[in-house]
Amino acid sequence: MTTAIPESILHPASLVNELKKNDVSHVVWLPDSETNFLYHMMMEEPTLDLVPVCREGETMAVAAGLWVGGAKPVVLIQNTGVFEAGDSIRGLCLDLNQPLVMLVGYRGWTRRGPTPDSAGRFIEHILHAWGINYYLVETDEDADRISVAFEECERLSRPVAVLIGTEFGS
Amino acid sequence: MIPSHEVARAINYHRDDALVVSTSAALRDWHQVSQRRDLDIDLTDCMDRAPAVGLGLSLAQPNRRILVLDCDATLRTDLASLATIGEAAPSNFVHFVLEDADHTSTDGVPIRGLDKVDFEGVARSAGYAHACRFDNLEELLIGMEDIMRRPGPILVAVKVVPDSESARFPERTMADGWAEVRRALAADI
Repeated sequence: MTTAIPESILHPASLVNELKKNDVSHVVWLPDSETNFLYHMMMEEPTLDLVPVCREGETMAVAAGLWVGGAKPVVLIQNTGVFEAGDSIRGLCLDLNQPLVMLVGYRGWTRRGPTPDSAGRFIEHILHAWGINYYLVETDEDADRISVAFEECERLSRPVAVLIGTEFGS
Repeated sequence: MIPSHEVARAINYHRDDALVVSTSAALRDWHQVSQRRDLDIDLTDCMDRAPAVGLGLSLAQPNRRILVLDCDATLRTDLASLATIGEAAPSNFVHFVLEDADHTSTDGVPIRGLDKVDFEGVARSAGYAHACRFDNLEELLIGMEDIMRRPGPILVAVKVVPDSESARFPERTMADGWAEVRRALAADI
């Protein structure tokens, strides 16, 4: 007989609290199928302005404009969007030394077993290729890694990624 | 048809303390006439992202006018940005699109099927508050006052003949220019 172990989950509130703790002003994002709970919580948070875009490449450029204008944005996209935004990450984040935290939904991530989704297989290799450091967040207990990412991106003046390796719980 | 450097001069005359994002051929004309380079955000890379950079600026600096000097060749590679800006509806945002009658960016070759994109129509349907077109310098000079006064987002399509082919991009690097703007805005607080 096996005992069911309650699985740790990541609540949207944990992420929103991290954004508030780090004085984030804007969330530039392209919603996906896994961010519904998060969307409603961010909408209710008066300190955060949401900026939706049509294509992920725009997120880096909107964030760059916000940053040069004195605001403190984050981008929130899926890993597939990182692939789409590649040239903007190069030209507007890395080459401009933009201290940007990129919150990236880790589609295809499986802690156990095979990873058939190429989005999951390639993302860490792509981040390594660009020299972008990253932290994995799967549960509420991991959420403080987001603050570590903020500290690092500001200290080094470069983008740092946070890979969200789970769906948000309600 | 309007010489492109005359468009830059007309915008500069009405600029006041607006932040200006310029890219591609528009940047080559602009940096030669601008008198506030400390408020100019140059895009010599990722040129199709000028509208999105302008949107971010408009949200961070809501009390300043944001002027984006874009080109047809760069805008048509990211038409979705018009929908993003229409949805955000920044009232301080003016988007100039210089339509190059000579297709110099493609060595004189019109891109089949993309040569007749109606930027005004796309902007209107995407939610821009106003869109207009000029192909005569005198009308542009008269119209500029109204453009700078209206609530945005506004798209202004201008049919130009480029005369900056011999002009170079600014010597200032993109990173140095952006750092200069950040310093200027921080000092202005």
